[in-house]
Amino acid sequence: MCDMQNQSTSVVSGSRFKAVHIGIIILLCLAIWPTFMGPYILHVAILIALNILIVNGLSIIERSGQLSFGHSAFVAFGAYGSVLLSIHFGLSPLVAGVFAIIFAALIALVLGGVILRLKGVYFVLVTFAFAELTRLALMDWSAVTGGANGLSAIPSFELLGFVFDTRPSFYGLMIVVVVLSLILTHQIFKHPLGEAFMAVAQNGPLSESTGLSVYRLQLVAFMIGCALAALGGVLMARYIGFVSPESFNLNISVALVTMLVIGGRGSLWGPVVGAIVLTSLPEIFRGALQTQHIFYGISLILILRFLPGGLVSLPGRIWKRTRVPQ
Amino acid sequence: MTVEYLKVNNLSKQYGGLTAVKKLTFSVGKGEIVGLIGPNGAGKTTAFNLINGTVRCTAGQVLFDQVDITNRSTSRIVVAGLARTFQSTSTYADISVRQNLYRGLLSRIHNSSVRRLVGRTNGLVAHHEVDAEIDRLLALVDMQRWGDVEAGALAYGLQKRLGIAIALASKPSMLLLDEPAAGLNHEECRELTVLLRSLQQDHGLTLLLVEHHMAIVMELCHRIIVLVQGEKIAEGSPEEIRNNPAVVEAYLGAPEYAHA
Repeated sequence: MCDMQNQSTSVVSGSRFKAVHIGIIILLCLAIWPTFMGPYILHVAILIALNILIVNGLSIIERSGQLSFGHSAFVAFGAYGSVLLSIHFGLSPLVAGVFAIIFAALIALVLGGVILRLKGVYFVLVTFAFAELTRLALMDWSAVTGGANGLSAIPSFELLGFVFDTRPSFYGLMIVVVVLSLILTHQIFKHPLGEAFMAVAQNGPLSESTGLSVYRLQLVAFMIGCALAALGGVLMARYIGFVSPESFNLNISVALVTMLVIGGRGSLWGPVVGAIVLTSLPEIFRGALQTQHIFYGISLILILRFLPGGLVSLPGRIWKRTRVPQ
Repeated sequence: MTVEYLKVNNLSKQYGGLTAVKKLTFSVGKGEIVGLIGPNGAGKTTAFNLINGTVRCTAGQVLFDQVDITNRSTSRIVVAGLARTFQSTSTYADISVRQNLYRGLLSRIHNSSVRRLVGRTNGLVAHHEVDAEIDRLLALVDMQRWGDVEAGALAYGLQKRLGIAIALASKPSMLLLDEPAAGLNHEECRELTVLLRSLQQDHGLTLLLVEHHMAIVMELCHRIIVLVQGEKIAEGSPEEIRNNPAVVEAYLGAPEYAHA
């Protein structure tokens, strides 16, 4: 991506550029905290980091004007793909992971190539069906995928001879990956490609009439988003050490969309806030597991009704309100 | 007439049993201003949509600069140099006028992945020239003082003018204008006339406009094509159209309207 090297023009605000760095520094400071809080908190922090990564991918797709309810399928491609490549071809976790991500991006290219002509609810429904088909295929193709039992005893992630087999070491890896994914997203949206994503999302006919191909741009966004989901899947499988079709059911897709909406669409920090809130709160209320979906539903309705920009837009709204009387 | 720049041959569009455009044939010469008029539902906007690829035609052919662009995607047609504006105001409402124009010229930014994605090779601007290009576009539509204002906060007439500027940002050689004067007051109509004439005379643009405001059509257009129920019923100079009994009966009506 050559335009990554270009300087931003003055039409793009410079304050956002500083805000992202301050945000990353704050995030890094907060991220260190769980390492002193014992294994359980560290486990929740790792799950949050995995969700940030996956929801960040979903956010890129959403910022180009499409909402995928089939994101869990691409997490599954990453998870199963990397594990199966390691088992059957003896590839290292890193190489298997890279191939699994490429594989997921190619599936996104083929799937997106067909379904991105659909708009709005039709696209949502097809992605929904695709996720369910993927889960059923994983369930039925038991000779390869282990069926409902899944695949277990997955070795830990390994990079240049270093094995991430402890929670603190894996957490460190996740912090690096999450920060890199946020920087990637920030870079995309600071440059013409991201601006074009937002243009087609906001006004497709107008952007098409200025020479932007809505279809091609949404296809690129879909591939990037799905590749990030697959990366999340690769790391998730290596951390948990077990994958099964039920790890990628429709509830997961719905939860990912809920995280995005509650955190905030159209913002770099939305996936971060959404993943932190919706991963940690159900853990806190673990005793009432049955009420988890009710909690998701109520949060979604409240946010869509009163805070369509998500939790991340709350400080800005408060600041705006306090300025009005002046 | 000068060299045929846009040529429409037997263009038809059928929606089930309804024929929206029927065997429409006309051409526009390079540097001409041509008006497409007719009563509501005559198929003018459909004809626009067929020409610029928004809607696929049932039959017929569209040639632009001697290249067949029939049923090509809108973005490819725009990259080839044929842009359009919209009947209602169409802007990116929640960002500034400058940012609107930046988005308008995204496909032209040299060394950007967006340009490669749409395969554009003409009318490119270097990244450091983007601001100057936006200034040029603002000056072209006389909107310099509105550059930092949110597009959605602009008055209706300014939003329409911004729509033209966004279309110009793609550096077209021909512009399809869909009712540019709709909803404008007298003063804004006068400014629009000056702007469109300047685009044709000073910048060499070819213009095809759909318009109900007869004073503007009669004043600006070199030729006028009249559509009624999807069919062309007349074509000629403003004077010929004004005195054409079939046009007067089907569309213009009272003589004072025709002579407005």
